[in-house]
Amino acid sequence: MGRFLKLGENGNNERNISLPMERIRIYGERFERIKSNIDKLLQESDAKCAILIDKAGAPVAYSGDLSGIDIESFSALVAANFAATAEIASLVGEQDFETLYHQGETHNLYFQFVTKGIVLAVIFDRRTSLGLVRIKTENTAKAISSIIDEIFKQAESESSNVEVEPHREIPDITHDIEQDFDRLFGN
Amino acid sequence: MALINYAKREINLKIVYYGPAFSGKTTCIQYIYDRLDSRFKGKLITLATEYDRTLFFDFLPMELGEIRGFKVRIHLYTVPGQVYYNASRRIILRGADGIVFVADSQKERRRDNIISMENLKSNLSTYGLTLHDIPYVLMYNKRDLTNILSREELDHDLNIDSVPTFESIAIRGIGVLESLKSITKSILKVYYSRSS
Repeated sequence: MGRFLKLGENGNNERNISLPMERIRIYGERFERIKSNIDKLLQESDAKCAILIDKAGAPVAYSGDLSGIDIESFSALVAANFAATAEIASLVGEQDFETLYHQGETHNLYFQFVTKGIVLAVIFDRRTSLGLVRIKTENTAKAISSIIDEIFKQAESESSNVEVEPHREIPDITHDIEQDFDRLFGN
Repeated sequence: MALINYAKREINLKIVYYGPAFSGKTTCIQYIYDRLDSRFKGKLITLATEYDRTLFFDFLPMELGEIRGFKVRIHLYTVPGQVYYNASRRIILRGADGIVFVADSQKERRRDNIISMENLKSNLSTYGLTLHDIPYVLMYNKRDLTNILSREELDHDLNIDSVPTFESIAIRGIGVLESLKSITKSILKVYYSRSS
């Protein structure tokens, strides 16, 4: 915080912007730990697949049989659904709903709040039961929550400390965007 | 909230189209969907009422492909414009990295534009943010109609931060890709500058 950056191409469109915007930066080892927790959940619960979704609706990590599932659309809708439920909770005087369950004919969905707006979505079928999925998902959410908290703590210390490993930097891709858009839109 | 996954070398960005009802937000996203090469776009999801008005949001995922080893994904959202859907707007703003504000240029919509901008500020404040904290651009839409506000009048009402502005006719695609490109560059500049 407190650092100011210039936006815009030229003097006409420049403004100073301070940056309290949140972002999650996930590096190799922590990502693998998150992933192995999700793998373990699937093994122990016999669920079909699981997706960890950030509060903006982007998939963070996933595992299992995801065939036929549009992961990005699924994640966007789950995040919005969960956020809408949180709003409903506040309307009835609840702090939040920690879990959501949707029962279908062949597939069931179980959503568990993790931390910082992040949600763990589990898809399961008749091979297992809601009770088992619920217990295992709750345990997994706790384990992932502590990893996410580590990530946020590190982000806080990095913002007050400029020393970041060079290979961890985001490449400056702003100059490539021009031609990339042309390619995307077939110009 | 940009998700930067170094393990998978992915950057995810969320861009929200905001503005008053009928200003052309869904038209923008529909145009982008129609123009996108099928290799780079996901499914366009529209949660609309039976009268084709946005009820919750429209969602379009697109992939910029791999740039310098990082896969860049952009998620485009629109919000419903009607005043009474404010809870939906607030939800969709969660974790946004940038905003395209689509204003209606018609003179009779002047007040609606201003109310929507005030509403945006108010909703950002629920996340502890102000307009100064987030990159945004302005689209002055429906420039093909008669009886429209001048660019100066729109600037006076909406462009307090001197951000990039685009005169657009979304229904014909004029100004749509330019504004999307502009906001994407602004967001990436912020993230690049922040990490350097």
